[in-house]
Amino acid sequence: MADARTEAAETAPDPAAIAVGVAERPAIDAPDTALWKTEIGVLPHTPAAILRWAVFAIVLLLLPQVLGPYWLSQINYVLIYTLAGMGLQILLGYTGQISIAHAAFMGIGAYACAYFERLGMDFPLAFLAAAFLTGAVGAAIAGPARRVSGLSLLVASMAFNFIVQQAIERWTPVTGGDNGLSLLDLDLFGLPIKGIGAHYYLYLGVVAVSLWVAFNILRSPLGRAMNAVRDSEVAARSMGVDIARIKTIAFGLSAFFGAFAGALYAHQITFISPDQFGLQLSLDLIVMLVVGGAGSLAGIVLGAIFLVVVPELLDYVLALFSSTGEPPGARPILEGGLLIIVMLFEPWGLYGLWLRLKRRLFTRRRAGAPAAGGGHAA
Amino acid sequence: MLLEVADLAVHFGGVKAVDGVSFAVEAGEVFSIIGPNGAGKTTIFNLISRIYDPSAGRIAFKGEDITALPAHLAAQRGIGRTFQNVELFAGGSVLKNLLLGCEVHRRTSFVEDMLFLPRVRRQELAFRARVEEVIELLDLGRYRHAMVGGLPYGLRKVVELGRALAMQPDLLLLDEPSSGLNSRDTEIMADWIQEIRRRRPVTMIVVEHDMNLVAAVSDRVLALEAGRVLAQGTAAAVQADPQVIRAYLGE
Amino acid sequence: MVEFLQQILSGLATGCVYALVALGLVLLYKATEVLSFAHGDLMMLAAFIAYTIVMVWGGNFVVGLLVAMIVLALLGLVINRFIIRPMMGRPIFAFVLVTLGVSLVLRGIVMLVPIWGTDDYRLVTPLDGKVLHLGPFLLNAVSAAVIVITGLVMAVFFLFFRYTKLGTAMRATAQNALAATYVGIDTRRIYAIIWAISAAAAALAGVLLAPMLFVHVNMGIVGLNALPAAIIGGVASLPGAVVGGILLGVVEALAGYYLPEGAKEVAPYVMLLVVLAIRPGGIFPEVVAKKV
Repeated sequence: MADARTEAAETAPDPAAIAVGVAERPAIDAPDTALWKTEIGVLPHTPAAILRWAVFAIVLLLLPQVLGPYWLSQINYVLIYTLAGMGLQILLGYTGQISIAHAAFMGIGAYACAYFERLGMDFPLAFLAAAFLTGAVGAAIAGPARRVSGLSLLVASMAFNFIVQQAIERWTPVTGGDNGLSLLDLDLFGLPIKGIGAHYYLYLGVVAVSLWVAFNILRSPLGRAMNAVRDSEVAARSMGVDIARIKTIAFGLSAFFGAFAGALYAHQITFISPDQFGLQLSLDLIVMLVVGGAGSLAGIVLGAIFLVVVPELLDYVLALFSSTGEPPGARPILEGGLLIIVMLFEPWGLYGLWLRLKRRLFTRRRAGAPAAGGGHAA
Repeated sequence: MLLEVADLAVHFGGVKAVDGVSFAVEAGEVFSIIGPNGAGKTTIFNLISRIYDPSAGRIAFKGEDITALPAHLAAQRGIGRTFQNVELFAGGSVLKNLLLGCEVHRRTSFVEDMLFLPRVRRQELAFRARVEEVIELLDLGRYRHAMVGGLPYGLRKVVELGRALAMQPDLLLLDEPSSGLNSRDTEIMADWIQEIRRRRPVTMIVVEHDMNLVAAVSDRVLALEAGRVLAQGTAAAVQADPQVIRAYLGE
Repeated sequence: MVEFLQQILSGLATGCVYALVALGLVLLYKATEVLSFAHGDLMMLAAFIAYTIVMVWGGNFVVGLLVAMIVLALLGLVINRFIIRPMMGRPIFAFVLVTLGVSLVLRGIVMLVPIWGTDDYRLVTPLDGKVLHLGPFLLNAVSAAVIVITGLVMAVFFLFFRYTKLGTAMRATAQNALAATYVGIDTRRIYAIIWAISAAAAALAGVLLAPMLFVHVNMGIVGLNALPAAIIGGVASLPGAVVGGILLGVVEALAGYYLPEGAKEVAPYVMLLVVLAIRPGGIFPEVVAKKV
């Protein structure tokens, strides 16, 4: 039987394998420590992979020089949504907790960061302090969240999101309430971060670090334990996994990274108000994860692109058709229709679509289903 | 005595699934529990591995009273098990499932995991070495990276056995290891159990229907019916017990 | 004290509306494991249909109500056949998102229709302006009618599920779809009927709600409150949905009267969290333990 190493992001995410397809592995009988090290590691280890990574890195670093301000700004939003998606993925995809409260975490992070900056803290300190605060909130709700599951957890998380939004609206001395809060200028250890390009590098840096942490989680006992909680709580307990501890960590980490995304989002749009962090945003993030193809980091990026590009696309299409201005119902119909079509016809999301295209374009001998991670995260 | 169970009982609604069961298991032995369906065999496993809480009675493991201990701590104390309906982690490969067996040996905190410090890397390599031993024992080399969802049932049972072995438990609870297997796979399973006994002496409690398997591997046998003990002793003695014969002939 | 009870009485009417929607949602969820985010906007569409028949075409209120229910029932069948059925077996989020898509499309359609659009409209009923005097208490005739109608519908539901063959078949399908097929029940037909009933319930709720609010494209947001109501009652319990809905309406009314600004909006959600903290399974929990 061919030893098919499928493209799960669960084991070492070797970009070479993901990009081209499946490499057949011979059966190994003797302890092969060198091999295990490469399977555990994150960095590329074949010349082809190293080259691919190097090119990719160079392209990323040079992007601001090449793209105009409009497209670079779109990329900035993609980066922020990717970060938000990663935080959600930790709770939803890795640990299987059905929660639509991520916007609340982003909101708490955004407002906390803005508030700490107004108190005089430097951005890096305010940023981290906001993240730890939000993480603590996340960990705190893990306790009650543990006692409910499934649909009840979903609706309870909705309730939490709504209540946090209301709290932000009411706590006027700190948050400015309905009047919103404007963000102070951003500077990093004295270096002002002004302009789209500077913001891009900041976001890229945060996303890169977060991505590294996400990979670390996946290839470590923590990630395995999270997946175990997702796949079978009973078996997990029998293997010595402390379910309470894992759920607390999952909620806490999800909130922590949600705060990262929220704080960066705040600095991107420079003015925040409570209505931005409601159910709409939480659902947008779910759309992103599911449409993108949850279970893989690539899917999250694709989902983020989807989320940023589609409204622009709709604007463009509607502008073409209507000379008298956009007809009022057109946008929701197109958005809704697109959502329905994607959900009906591509269960594995855009990432699944991409895998199918890839298989047809790069025909190498290949067996098995698309990334097993594609389905279970939702 | 590695494990002592005294007057164990559990009620579900009005049903007494387990009613005043007492037995003891010596270190190194293979102890089988037999009985008709619904006799309470798996329930006893669930009580020992602490998935259920008993209504009455006492469980002592390695001298410690574990009657109220949470399930994950019972696992950390050295109790491993397999399940009647295979409970593997569907989203993972064989390797990943086996690696989860090493969770009880984890010494790194979650922060260290997130940063993947050298300690974590060393631990991962050590875990991998341990798991490779199990893979070699159970001949799973070809399936190392296969997704468990796609494997045939018999193979999944072997993987689940391997996952429990990776824990290096002091007490291994095997719940109907031959259920759903054809006679050839059952023989293979019997061979694994013998092999495990040879290589690393682990105490086992086996719930089984297949009397051939029971007779082949067991040191002592307990016969259960409707939550109560019918007979205890060697396989031959229990098989000859008139109460046991009545219970089995009547089913 | 009188004020307190008066508020309870007022809350009862909205509670009945919530109960109707929650009932439809729980029915759907129990049978098909689909959580519909479209029901709020189904309500809204029904209200617009009734408005058109009564206010624009000068028809009878009852006729408007019945037409709205029939149209929505048919829409429910269409949604089930072309959107839900192809997706059976997918995880719950897939259905959340696809019903979200349906709700967006419904809103878009309502916005596009020339006589509808984004304005507020009033749905006038024959009982407008009439007030019942029950001892020291006042109750709008409209609200009273809502309570009575809801009560009747619940009774019909109860009798239907208990005593008719179709009702029994539906209960069987809700409990164990696989077993139901083995007994010869056509589960696909049952799912279709459940969608029709669930949509009709939403239609009834929408038309009953309309006189109490305004008919507006955003009125579906109220339907979202039915979700906490369903969970409070116990996500798999039909009587629970009714109890939860009514409780929610009453608590909302009390919060609006006694508590400061903004409390009314959060009241359903705070109540949900409080109930779940005390009883994680809701008022009528369903005990489901996985057998290992």
